[in-house]
Amino acid sequence: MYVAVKGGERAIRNAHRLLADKRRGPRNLPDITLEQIATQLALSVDRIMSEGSLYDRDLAALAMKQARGDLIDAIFLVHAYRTITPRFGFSEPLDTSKMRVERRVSATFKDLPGGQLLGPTFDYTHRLLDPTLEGAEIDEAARAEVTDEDRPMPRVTDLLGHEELIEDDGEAQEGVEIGDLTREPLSFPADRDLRLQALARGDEGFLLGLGYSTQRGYSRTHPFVGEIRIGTVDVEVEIPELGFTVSIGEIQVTECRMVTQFKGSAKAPPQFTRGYGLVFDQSERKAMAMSLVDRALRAREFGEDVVAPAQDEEFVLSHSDNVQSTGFLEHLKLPHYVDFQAELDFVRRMRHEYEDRAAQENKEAAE
Amino acid sequence: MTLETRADTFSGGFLRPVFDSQSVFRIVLDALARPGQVKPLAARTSPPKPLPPLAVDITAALADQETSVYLCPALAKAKTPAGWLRFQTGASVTANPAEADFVIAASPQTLPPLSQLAVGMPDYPDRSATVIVAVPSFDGGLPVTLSGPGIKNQQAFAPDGVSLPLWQQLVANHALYPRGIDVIFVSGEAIAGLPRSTQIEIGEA
Amino acid sequence: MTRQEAMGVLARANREELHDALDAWPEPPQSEALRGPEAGMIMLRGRAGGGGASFNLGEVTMARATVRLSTGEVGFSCVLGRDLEKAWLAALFDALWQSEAEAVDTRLLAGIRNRLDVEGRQTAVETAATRVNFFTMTRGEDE
Repeated sequence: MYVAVKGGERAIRNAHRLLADKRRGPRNLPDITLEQIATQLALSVDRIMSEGSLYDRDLAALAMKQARGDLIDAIFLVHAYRTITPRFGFSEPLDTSKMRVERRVSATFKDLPGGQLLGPTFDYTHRLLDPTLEGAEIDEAARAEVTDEDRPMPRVTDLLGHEELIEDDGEAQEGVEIGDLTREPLSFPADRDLRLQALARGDEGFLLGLGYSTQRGYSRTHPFVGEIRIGTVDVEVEIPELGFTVSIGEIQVTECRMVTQFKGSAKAPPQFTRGYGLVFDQSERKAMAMSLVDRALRAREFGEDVVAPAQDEEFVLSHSDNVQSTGFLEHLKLPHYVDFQAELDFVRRMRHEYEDRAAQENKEAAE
Repeated sequence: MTLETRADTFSGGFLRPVFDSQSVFRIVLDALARPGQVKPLAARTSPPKPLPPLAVDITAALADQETSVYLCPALAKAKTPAGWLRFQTGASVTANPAEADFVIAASPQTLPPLSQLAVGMPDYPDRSATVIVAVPSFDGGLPVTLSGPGIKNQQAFAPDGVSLPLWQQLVANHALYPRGIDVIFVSGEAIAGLPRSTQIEIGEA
Repeated sequence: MTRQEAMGVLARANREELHDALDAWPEPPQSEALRGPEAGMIMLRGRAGGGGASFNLGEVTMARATVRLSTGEVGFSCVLGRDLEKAWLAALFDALWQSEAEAVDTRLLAGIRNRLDVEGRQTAVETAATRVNFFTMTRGEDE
């Protein structure tokens, strides 16, 4: 039997109204603008774009405002928007070697060609709350002449490539269908294309925890940051009617190449292997975590034993989507009255049986 | 500039894409819900020859960037249809019937063997082809009797041009249920649906 | 400048730049819509390791339009974002470019290129100021 329960419409309506009122906050304060959110809370907006898997600053800022700053709810809103928006096609693969770099650091080579550029980083800040920040006059950024050495920026991993001490990227395969988890349900084993897609939109906190676990010995890979770069890349699409590709604008991405040890196997000589992270906008922590988890998930490829959660693709990919996770977790608070009644009934019956049995045993013992 | 940027690639699609595709969708839904009943539908597109306009209406309503279309040899011979379909519907044209989401045929005779088409998988029966085929008329053909979901008792159906071997293939298609292809017949200003769920008995009831 | 390059510049125009150029155009062009303007998304692709096999990174919003001038030229636009008016105007100027490349270039594209250069230059000099210059201090007991 299914019992439909009605009621609560007024409560829901008023709850929504209360939410809107709280979202607006005290009316003597100015309403926060989307431009302010997009520019002054930029890294939160970046995270919404990355985990919402949709690059659109204005929509992400709107989602953030609508969700009262709850990032997972904002990401949920962006996911929902994405699912009802038509997809016109695909871009050409982004060419990160042509990135206009705004930050680039390497922890493995001090004097790499093109140099190290810190960009707008929190690194080396004191992490002490600054009470003078509110309302403070802020100096404009410093400027320095761009010299010729700024131009060529080979990828760090290419520097060791010619000695074959580090694995190469592998070939771009022509004509191979690229997995898309927004169109086909995930199935396992999942290839690296699907894994990278899932990680790129995965929850930063989840990936951070997994990445950290590999550092603490749950599938040790001894990682080094080969290179992190942040900057803008061109987006190119082919216009079939014209028969050529057109650059339609640019987006900011963060790329991390993690270099990890590999002691070799019967088939492969010892060399450095790599994990890769590519994330929308400025999301360095996530790009680093992604590259650690990408490397851990390549266990099968390198013939390594799968002994840790970060190496288990079913575990990682099934739990990395925070909209999925929050949906299933939060549904627990919705009415389960009938379910619970059934369980209650069941526990009562078991309890009776238990008590009857105990009484029977007591009786037998007494006799 | 390539040949395909010729102006006729760009005209002849739905004039009001949202309303037109919704109206066509509604009629297609009716046709598949009432197998074998002939549903009037006037063409809203004017595609380049030899594409059958009604078949193109249905494709424009159902297909998009993420689907592919196989054109029967009679239609694929002409250069324009592929570019036109891609611009107007977003769908790509494939030469391999097995990977097509939609199959458009100028007549039942030019259909590829149905066994070559995608029929879906037990866990994803939706990954199957929808066949849109033009027939000269909805009567005068070999009579069959339809029954099953959407049909009260029995439904007589006799589209012209459908041969006995093709009917036999369609009988075999129903046997695959829940896998199998769905067929939409178009003729003049009407369409009729024959989903995989319909039982087909060859001959009159 | 090729049409491909011109379209790349048009995609980076802002709506005001396109509007101003159209308002100042000697004879307002007559045009009809062939498709759109419409907004949607495209799936962005990356490459494993930066240069290896492709994977789907995530989507980005995009607007596009196809227009035809009364003189027959068909113009296309694909631009990031959801600005339908910008997409429409960019397609219009792509169509105009085909017969009046020089006029489109001097009246519109040159200005956009200048702005982009200035913006790119600003980012570059700000970034350059954060360059690390390592130096090694000699230590130890060597004479």
